[in-house]
Amino acid sequence: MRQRWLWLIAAGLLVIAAAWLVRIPEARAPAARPEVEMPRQLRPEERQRMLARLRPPVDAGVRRNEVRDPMLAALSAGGSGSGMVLEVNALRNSPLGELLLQCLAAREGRGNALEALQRMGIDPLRDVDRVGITEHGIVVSGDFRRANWEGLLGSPGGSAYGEQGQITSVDPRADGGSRLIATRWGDSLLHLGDSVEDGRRVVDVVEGRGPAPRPLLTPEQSYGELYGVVSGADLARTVGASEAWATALVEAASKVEIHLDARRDVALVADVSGDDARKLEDLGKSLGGALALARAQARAGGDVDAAELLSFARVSPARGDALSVEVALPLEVVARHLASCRGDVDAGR
Amino acid sequence: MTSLAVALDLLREAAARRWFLALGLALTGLLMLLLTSLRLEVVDGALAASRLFGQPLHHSIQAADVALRPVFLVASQIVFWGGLGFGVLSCADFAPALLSPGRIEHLLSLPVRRWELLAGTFLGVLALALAGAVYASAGLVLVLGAKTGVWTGWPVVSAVLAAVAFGSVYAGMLAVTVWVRSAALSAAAGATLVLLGLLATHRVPLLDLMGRGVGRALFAGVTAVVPPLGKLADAAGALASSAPLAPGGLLRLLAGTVAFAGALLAVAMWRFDRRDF
Repeated sequence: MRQRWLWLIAAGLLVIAAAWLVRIPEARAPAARPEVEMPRQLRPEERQRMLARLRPPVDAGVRRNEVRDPMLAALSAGGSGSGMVLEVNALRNSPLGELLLQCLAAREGRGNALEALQRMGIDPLRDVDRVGITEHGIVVSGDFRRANWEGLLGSPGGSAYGEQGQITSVDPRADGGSRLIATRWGDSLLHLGDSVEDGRRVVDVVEGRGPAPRPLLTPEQSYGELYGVVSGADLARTVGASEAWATALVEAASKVEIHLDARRDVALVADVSGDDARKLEDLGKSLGGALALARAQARAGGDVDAAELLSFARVSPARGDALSVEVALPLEVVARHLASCRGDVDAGR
Repeated sequence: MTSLAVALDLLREAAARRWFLALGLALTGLLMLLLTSLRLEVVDGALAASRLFGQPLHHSIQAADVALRPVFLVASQIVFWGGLGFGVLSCADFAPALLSPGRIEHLLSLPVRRWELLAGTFLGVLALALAGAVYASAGLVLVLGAKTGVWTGWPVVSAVLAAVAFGSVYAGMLAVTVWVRSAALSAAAGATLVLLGLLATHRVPLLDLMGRGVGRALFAGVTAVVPPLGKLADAAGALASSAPLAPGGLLRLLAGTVAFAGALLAVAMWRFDRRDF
């Protein structure tokens, strides 16, 4: 008889235990996988930024209906197949930007470029908005109203061209180098190239004269902190071909569109297009293998964060004549790689 | 030991039933189909291409273990919820058969204590659930492991969780059967417990929606005790797909589920002890 009641007492105690065990609030929140947003399209704030940059070209006082981004127009002027844009203003407010600035500021031995520019009236941290690079030169946009052009270019004026253009020939430095052609457009755009023709083309395109060149980048492509298009030939020169995936990349890719989000962890999207579907397929497999290998190496090295973020790495196979690569890297890993230029002796520990 | 003998007897009985024969054949057939018709190409640890029945499957190229995570996640959910559903239906008449007139009198005449009979029945069903879940998940792990080189034991651990969850449901079915010997009622009790387990998973938001009163207090009381099966399923999925889990959270959830099953078994034994046959 007593044993029967023991069953009930046991049941009561177990019910209480069950309720206690499954209901007590958890002491620690569950760990979550990191979330990485790949740059795939304009974010709302980037769309606003893009719209604010669009200007109607003004030629001989005639305002046209079309609008264009002077920076992107200037990059397209040379008809180049490759060009990259660095959103300096957006990047400097990001953790990665701070790391890069520390890197620049630490290069005392070669002369601090930031301080030199500041002495000439351009504060790269405040006045420079974007820096674009093509094979025809460098384009810098921003607010240069306070710039000391004489100190910067060695000449206060230069020859006027178009509505707002000023083309100045900068003599080679004492320690060598070639002649530089600096083309200013108003107080918001500066093109540094090596021929007057390039400078004139830039002003013509920005002011809307002559036939519009094929755009290297459209305003809708201006998302991420770093973006651009690289041709297959330029890619070959940049990447080299020491690794299997690099060889496959150079052989298969005719054009690569890159977008990098550096607001926190670094997320990179590269859309690769090529003419040979078979080679693209092989490239996708090689890249996928290389990324999986990198993740395995990170895990083997005990770098859990990097391995976790590298698990986001994927190659979307060829959709006709294109494939897409997505890679994410933790900021800490990037910081470790930048540590040598920052002179941080504790880096990587 | 006597309980184990009863459990083995139940397993022998299960082996003779078409339900379990069909389940075993279906699982084996499915695994053999995967083994023979799925082609996976792995390059440097990345799943580069897949073909099923010769047709290419379109997916991203990524590390093979990462690519298999969703596969194991889906498999774990099928094993968990499918196992619960199949278990409730197929195991509903084990206990009624045990208590059937003639058989129970014969069993009670043997040198077996009453609680050993119930415990043996429970253990037999639990072993059956465990065998089915582990066979399905271990088979999947073996097939995919052989094709990709990705070997992981977590989907099997996740299957054990599914079996534990079914154990808590079956304890309720057994307790109901001791009162009323009916396979239909036993199955209904199992289905009700699964439903309550789902409601218990979303207990707090549901309570927020309810106005104060007897109904709310009743709901709060019942769902405070029933194991949140949805959370257990999520944990099983997270385990199978190598997702992070709250430290200690799973162990407490498992212990709570086992305690709930133990409570229902104790109630069943209390009733069985004082019942005349």
